[in-house]
Amino acid sequence: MFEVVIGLEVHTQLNTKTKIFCSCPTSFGDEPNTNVCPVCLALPGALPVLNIEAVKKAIAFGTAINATVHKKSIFNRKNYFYPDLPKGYQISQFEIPIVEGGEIVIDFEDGSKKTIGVTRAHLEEDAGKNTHQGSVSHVDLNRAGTPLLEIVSEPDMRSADEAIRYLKKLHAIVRYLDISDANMQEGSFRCDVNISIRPKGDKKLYTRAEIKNLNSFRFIQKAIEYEIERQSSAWEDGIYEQEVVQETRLFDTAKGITKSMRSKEDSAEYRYFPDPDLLPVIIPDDMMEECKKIPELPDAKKIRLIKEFGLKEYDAAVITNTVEMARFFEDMIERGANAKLSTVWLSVELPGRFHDGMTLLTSPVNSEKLASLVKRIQDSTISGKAAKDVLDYLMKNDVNVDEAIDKLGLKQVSDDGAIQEIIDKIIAANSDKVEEYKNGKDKLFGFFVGQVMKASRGKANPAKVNELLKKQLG
Amino acid sequence: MQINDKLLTKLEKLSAVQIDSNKREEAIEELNKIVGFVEILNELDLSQEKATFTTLKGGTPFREDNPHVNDEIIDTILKHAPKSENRYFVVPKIIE
Amino acid sequence: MITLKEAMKLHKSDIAHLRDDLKKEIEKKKEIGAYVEQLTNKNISEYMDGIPIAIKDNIQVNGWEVTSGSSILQGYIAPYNATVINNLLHSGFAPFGRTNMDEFAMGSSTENSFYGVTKNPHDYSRVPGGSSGGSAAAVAAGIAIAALGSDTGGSIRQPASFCGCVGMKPTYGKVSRYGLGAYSSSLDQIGPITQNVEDAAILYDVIAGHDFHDSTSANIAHKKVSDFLSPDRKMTIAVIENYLQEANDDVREKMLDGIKALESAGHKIIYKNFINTKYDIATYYIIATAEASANLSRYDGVRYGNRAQSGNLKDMYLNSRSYGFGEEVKRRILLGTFVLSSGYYDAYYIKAQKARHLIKHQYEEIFKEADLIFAPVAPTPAFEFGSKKDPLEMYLSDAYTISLNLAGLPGISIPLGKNIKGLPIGGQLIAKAYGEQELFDGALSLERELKGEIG
Repeated sequence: MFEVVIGLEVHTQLNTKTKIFCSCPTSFGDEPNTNVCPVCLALPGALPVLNIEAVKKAIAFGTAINATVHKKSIFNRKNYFYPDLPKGYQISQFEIPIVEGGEIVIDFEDGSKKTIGVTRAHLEEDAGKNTHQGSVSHVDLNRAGTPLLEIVSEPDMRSADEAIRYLKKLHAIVRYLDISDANMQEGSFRCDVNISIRPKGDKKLYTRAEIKNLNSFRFIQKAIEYEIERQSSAWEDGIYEQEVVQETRLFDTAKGITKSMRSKEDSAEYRYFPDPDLLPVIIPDDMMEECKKIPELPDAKKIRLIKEFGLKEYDAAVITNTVEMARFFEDMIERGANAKLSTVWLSVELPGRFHDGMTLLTSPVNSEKLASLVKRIQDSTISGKAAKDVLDYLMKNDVNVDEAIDKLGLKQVSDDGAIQEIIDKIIAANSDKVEEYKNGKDKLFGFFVGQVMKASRGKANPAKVNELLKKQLG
Repeated sequence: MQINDKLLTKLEKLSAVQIDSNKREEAIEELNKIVGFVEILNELDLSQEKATFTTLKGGTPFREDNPHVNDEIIDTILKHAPKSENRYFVVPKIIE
Repeated sequence: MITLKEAMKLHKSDIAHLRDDLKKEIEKKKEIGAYVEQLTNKNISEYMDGIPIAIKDNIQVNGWEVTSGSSILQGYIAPYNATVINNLLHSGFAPFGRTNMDEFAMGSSTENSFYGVTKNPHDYSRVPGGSSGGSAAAVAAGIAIAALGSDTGGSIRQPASFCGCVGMKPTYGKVSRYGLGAYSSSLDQIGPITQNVEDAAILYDVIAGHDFHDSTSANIAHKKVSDFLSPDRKMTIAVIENYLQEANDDVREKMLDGIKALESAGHKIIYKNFINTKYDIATYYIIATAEASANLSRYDGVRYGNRAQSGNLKDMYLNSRSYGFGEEVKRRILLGTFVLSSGYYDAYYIKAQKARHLIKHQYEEIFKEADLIFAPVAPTPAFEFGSKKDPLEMYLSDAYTISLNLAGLPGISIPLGKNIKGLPIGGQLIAKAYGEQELFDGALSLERELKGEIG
């Protein structure tokens, strides 16, 4: 009955060393008001000077989403009062942003794709932090002036699922480019959702609500689902005009609902005008050329991994999901690990053993170790099954792979003679079953394999066992 | 364009500045006089003119991404701040 | 009073004496109220011990209370030096005393200061001009060797004219604005106020130059003008005829003396006309108030300065700013907010920026035919306190100085003489962008010629 129209605004903090308009270090979690100066404190007489790295990162992003990077763009003042905004205005971009008109492609499991338009991306400064303490607020300006790239999508998404896919893709791109830490919990990747509904088939855009304060993909999903329900119910109950107004809503994580944040009359009037303390941003040709050389992006990497290593689409997608995993994988390959084996061990076995917020970056088993482990499977030193035990051991003990294998005594037996000995014993002890097998009960082959493996305490090389048994039994 | 009491109230809100109630009429009168005066620009033919926001040519200079901190500056500001506590600036809360 | 040039030849010990003598003079002539310290009964602010230069109260000096003549900045201690102050220090000068000014540089008479008025040394019932009235009065009264002021619409040149000293505004971008409490970012410039033209050239050289802290600082190497002063250079000088006709009799009389002097000095005089000054004034008051309305938003009592105790945040902002700002400042903030607000932005702000282009172009046309422009500084000599109560009337008195800031050009006000009441009248020379050499050359020749005549 209804169609959902979703547009997303993402503010991503650029991971430059200094703030966008002053040389204060960018930071997270430092003592309050330690990374501040006359400029970001907005003292009388202070003036902004643009960080070149912020510009370069914006160019890289524009290139990655096939957008136009404007050679000339303008900074504007966005005027409003709030204690975390020291100047009483935010330096942002309005009519002429640095990046305009790009796209991000989202993929679905069935192989289909959808292109989501990106209207624009512009540079601006972050505000400080205002925390409430009883009857007062505490203002910390460490964050004030951190460079932000505000990325605005077209209202092209039609479901929470599409919205999440877009955000994950955008997140991956930003991480692949390494222009931002994009950590939602720390606030370096902030998503606002603009959502409205309309009767199916209707082309008009109806009233949209903006939902802020969403710091996880899960909450974004829930918030969207709640809003769809809220807005459709209002329409069906005939109270759409009253209930659905253009406003900002906050997501209450405890109750799982959105709540109205600002009253209707507080329509923001920002009085944008070009900032007279700055001149237009004009990108020199050589900088433009240099910054357009960006690293391989997730989609391209996925296609290449499928082509070069024969990975399945699904596996390639998982590996390239995050830049950390992609890098880990590529390092393993570089060290000679088999691609298909690496896929399993990297995307299933290793993460399956993480605990207490561990990630690939904090994992005690790094790409070098995991590659060594995989190579020991490849060269038949250990069986795949034994490798799992070795990995468990490596997660808790700081030794190299061979030391672990020795310690656990898991070296595989691949010696023909040794295996043959065991086979002979089993066959001798199971002559009746041998008879049955020779008379056609093919399923018993597995029994013999199992017995040999058991007798060897799992150490026999399964491939060898198969080979020799087949030779023997026929 | 005439500035009336309603518009003045809006401007006061946007600029966080309030005119004393007993000076309000006078303020509106003065503002209207000035606004009326500046409308004289309508007499000029500006159709061929480009809006010039600065008399300088070229683009904004770029700064290298090198961190720099001066502890004395922030210590002086915190010391003389109207209200500060544990290195925070303290302000009254917004009334919801 | 010793000139700047002479003071530069002094030994360190003599400079110390000079400073002490100056302090005594300042105390003696307290009633002028040129210095904030004179008006508040405090000791003259000092920083290091070089040749003393008086500093307008909107230029940051590390450790000084720097308040832009406002209540809202009471209690604010500047924790850094403006670039121009560092430049002074590197050349053996030192900031010495805060001079009084119209609050946030908004005014033409120094009647709008939180601290009270500064008197014109030539007639205590009259204004010294503004907004750098304190700086000009200090130099004119012999209680400063030289001073720094700031000029957004004439705030150096007009007080210099009213007080009978030299005041110069550089090409926009030649002197760093880092550390100057901003009024109108695209118009503000710091400049020297001195006893004579050569001192102004010397002081200009000290403060001028590229500064990477200021994105609007002209990125060209500074070529010293004071080393190359050529008063004998002959130039073509355009006199703005319609300005001359509109000025009052005293001003016109002195301007004619000035033209005669320039002719005697060997310059060629041509006559040109500018558009009606009303357009300049309208353009200025839209652009300057718009930029100011945003520049002054930082004064909110949150991090520094004067906070009005309040129960909630909204009241804190409203009360701090409404009590902390004077009438004129509030008026300009509201005006600036108006011209930027939706529905009016194109009709006022954009229109003014287009008019600015026209005004700039008008100057460029004249400079195709002339090296310098000669025009009156103000329509009248110094007026009496309280005589211009109507804000619009006050704005209209900026008629001749304003267009220069809009075009970003350099200008200098030189004393032409006094009227029968003994009130000084100045004339200004204007050069094209980055034409400070021509400007000072022409000014020096005029000064010499006039001094020769006057004796």
